[in-house]
Amino acid sequence: MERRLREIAREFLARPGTLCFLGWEAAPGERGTRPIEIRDAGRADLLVWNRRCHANLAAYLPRFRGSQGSIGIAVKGCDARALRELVRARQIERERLFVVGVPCAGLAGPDGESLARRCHGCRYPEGFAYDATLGPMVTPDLPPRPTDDPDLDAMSPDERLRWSEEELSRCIRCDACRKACYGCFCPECVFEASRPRWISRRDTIAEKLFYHAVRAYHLAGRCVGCDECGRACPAGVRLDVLNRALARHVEELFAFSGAGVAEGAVPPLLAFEPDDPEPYPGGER
Amino acid sequence: MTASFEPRILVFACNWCSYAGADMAGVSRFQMPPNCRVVRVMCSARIKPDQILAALTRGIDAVVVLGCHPGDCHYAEGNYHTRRRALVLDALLATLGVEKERFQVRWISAAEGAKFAAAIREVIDTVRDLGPNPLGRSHGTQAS
Amino acid sequence: MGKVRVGVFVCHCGSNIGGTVRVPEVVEYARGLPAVRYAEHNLYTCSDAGLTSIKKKIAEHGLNRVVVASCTPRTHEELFRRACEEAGLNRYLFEFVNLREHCSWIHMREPDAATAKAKDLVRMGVAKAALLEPLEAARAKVTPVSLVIGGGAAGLAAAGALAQQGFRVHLVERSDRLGGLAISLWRLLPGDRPAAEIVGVLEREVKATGNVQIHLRTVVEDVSGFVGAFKVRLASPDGPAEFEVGTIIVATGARELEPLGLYRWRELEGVMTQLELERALSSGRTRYGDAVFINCAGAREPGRTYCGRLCCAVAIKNARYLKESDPDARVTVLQRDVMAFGAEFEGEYRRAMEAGVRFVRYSPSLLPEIVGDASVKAVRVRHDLMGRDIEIPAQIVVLTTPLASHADSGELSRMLKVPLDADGFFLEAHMKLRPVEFATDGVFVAGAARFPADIREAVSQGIAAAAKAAAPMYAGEVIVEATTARTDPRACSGCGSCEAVCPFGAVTVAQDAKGRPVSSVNAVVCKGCGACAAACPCGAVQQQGFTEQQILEMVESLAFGREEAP
Repeated sequence: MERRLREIAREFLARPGTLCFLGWEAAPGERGTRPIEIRDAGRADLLVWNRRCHANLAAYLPRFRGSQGSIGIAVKGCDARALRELVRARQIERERLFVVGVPCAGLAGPDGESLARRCHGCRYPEGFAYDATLGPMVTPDLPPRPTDDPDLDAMSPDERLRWSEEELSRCIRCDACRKACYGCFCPECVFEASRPRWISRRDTIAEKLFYHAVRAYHLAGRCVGCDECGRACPAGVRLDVLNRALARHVEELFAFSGAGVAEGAVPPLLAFEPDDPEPYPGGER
Repeated sequence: MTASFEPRILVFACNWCSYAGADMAGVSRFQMPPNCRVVRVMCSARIKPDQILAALTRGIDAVVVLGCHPGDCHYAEGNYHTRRRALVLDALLATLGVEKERFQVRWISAAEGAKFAAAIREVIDTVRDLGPNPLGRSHGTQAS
Repeated sequence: MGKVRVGVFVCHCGSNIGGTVRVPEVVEYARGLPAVRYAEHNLYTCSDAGLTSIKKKIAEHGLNRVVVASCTPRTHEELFRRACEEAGLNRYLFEFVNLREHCSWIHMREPDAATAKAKDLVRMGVAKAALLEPLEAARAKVTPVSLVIGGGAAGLAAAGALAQQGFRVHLVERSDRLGGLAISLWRLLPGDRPAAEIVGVLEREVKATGNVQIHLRTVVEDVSGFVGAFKVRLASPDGPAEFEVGTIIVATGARELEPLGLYRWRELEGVMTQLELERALSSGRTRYGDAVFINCAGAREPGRTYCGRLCCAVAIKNARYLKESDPDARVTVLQRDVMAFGAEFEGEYRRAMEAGVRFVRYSPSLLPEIVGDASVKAVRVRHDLMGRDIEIPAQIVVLTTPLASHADSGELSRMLKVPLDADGFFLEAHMKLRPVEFATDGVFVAGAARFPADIREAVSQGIAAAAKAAAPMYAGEVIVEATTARTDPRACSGCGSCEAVCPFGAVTVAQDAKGRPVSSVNAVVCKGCGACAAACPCGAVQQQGFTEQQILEMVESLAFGREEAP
């Protein structure tokens, strides 16, 4: 598959009007691979495909707004969902893209062997029209949740608050999660704005809770579970637990198949049903 | 949680229905404890969870969003959006472990002064029993 | 912020506020707030003396923001805004704080707490006022031409009423005749008049005005624009037509529900609907033999739960005619509650019974059965009161079906950006207060397009819709609320969240000069609800007068402020 990927990239870059091909190359150290933007067909041999190709390359697409030329991109299932969402949100035009589907059956965890925690409950997009694929793009059969993950549902609200505060207290407010997330493409993020000043740089748990709660809300219905946020976090904060829990709630509340899964699906927060359930405290309409 | 704790509660009310309902409660002289502060918006749809989360993490003990009854929004659909956003915020607060009583949505029409008063009294009593908002600790704004 | 100079005017409102809240203390507190350059109290700020004082102090102290802390903005906001304007200050640089309905009147026995709350509310109001920006209300010209969609009773009444007031009207009808459903009817209750005669009068009146351009065999293909300036495109066998109108009235009526799959309609000779019966009656045939009417056919059941309102009257009318023209015939009406409201219909019900029409109640859980091979022979039904099955001989079975919405009402709904209810009928802005308008400005509705209506109702509503539509056309312009949304294109990512949630289609995303998608707000169409501002993740879309900064400032003022000014 790696050879085929390089072939496809080489062919693509040789065509007129192409700007670059986004893929993964080998990287030293534990990381194993890292993203690469190839402009020259001759460098296509740098491309790799293995169980350590974690990076969600779709996250790089918004930076091509306003430029010209077509862009090739290799996507796994989760990445393709993100890509579909970006197209829907007008961050990149589908016609500019040459999408190569890479049939990922699960990435490696930090030990290089076990399944990466993001891969649990994997779901590929439905009916996605790839421009080329390295194999059938179908959802692999992977276990739903790592057994040693914190089970928020089984906790009492008090225990959950203790877990949240403990987990988020590790946060050093480096913004890496925001930078790594495909869905964070606002030209000026609310957390960077000074008018209004939503957040300060004070190192308090209240500020950290606010940051991650607001980010989780902004991603509600758009998080594809790629865990790039968790992977980028230098303090090992379990952002995946938080964002995935909310994603699951959103899917259940609104019978939503998940961000980027169904073709043409609108994120639940941009729509409504006249008979939506009632928020707390509920009761009569 | 000392006996003297009195919660501070922020209420967003939409101009066409719930703010008028609150006015009606005033006109009818329904007495209530003095813990709420009402902020007027044109439609409950103006409210986003970011603002509610800001209020809660800055130590306000509870936030209540009031709107027109679903189907009666002056702007046709605004409160349907409010409802969805509130449902997601409910889920988010639950995930984080914040007590659900600290964020409530209630539909109050312009004629429902009594309902407004009852709702406010209920919210104040409930939140008083919960105690000060733990999220406000680090801001130092928690009432003693 | 050094340039902002806030003036605070705290009202006693006689003793309404001052009897509970220690007003002078609140004034003293206000003086210490950031940006406040002047504060005073008045006995009645809304009085001449109070308004004059505001205007004087604006000039004397160079105030550029005014806060009045008194009653509810729903009473005097306009008054104080005008006072500011008269003093040379933009009317939107004014903020109202409610110390009466929301404070003194609800904490009458707690003066200390009420005073503390009043200080909080004033502090929050000043925090917002300091951030207010001057706003200009947009004005849109209104073309004094109206489009009426539908040439039935409602449409004819509306077109005639508008034309008589001097407005030009385009009346669009998709069939080849005017008159709507009425021309398929035979005679009308009350009064026994031929239906065509009634609508014929309306049609003559319309044509006599000389102001109505009638488009037959025509449909509306596209509508764009907004109140005052809708761009309409019509399609007809004679070719397309395009023009601009200021207002639109939807009078597209309804259709008789076809009882597909019910009671062997179209399967068995002799089973027909009320309209089919009326057509047969119009052709002169009066004798049909024994007749059984089945009411609520296809109505008041899962999938279509509403009552058709008028169909009982139609059944009663036709049943009586059949019985009177053929007294030997047995005429039975199978019903599930008879809806014969008012004096006239109840009177007709009585007449029908006196003429010998029998009314038998049946239960929706045991529907009548049609008996017959090639043609109808009888109807078998469980007589609800007797509690046993009976078989009624019949040569015809007439199915009373309700009026239903047109199958393509969805297309028009999308084109005009007006909503439909769960049954596909058009949904008005407010059932009681705004019965012939839509939430979308400049578009109105009349007749059976809203719910099953008889000709009297259709004509009333047509005239009402015309009256409503005439108002902006007379005025020549519409003034829109200035607290509309606005996009900062530099901060916008073009994600379209705003566009997706706007109930009025006021926010759209389009390519800017550099080819990048960016949102923009049509200030004339924008109603100022703020849904877009709340949907925008980065704050590029703001609602003027209720900006993110203003709201957050109020929240922080409450969270961090204290009774003692910092």
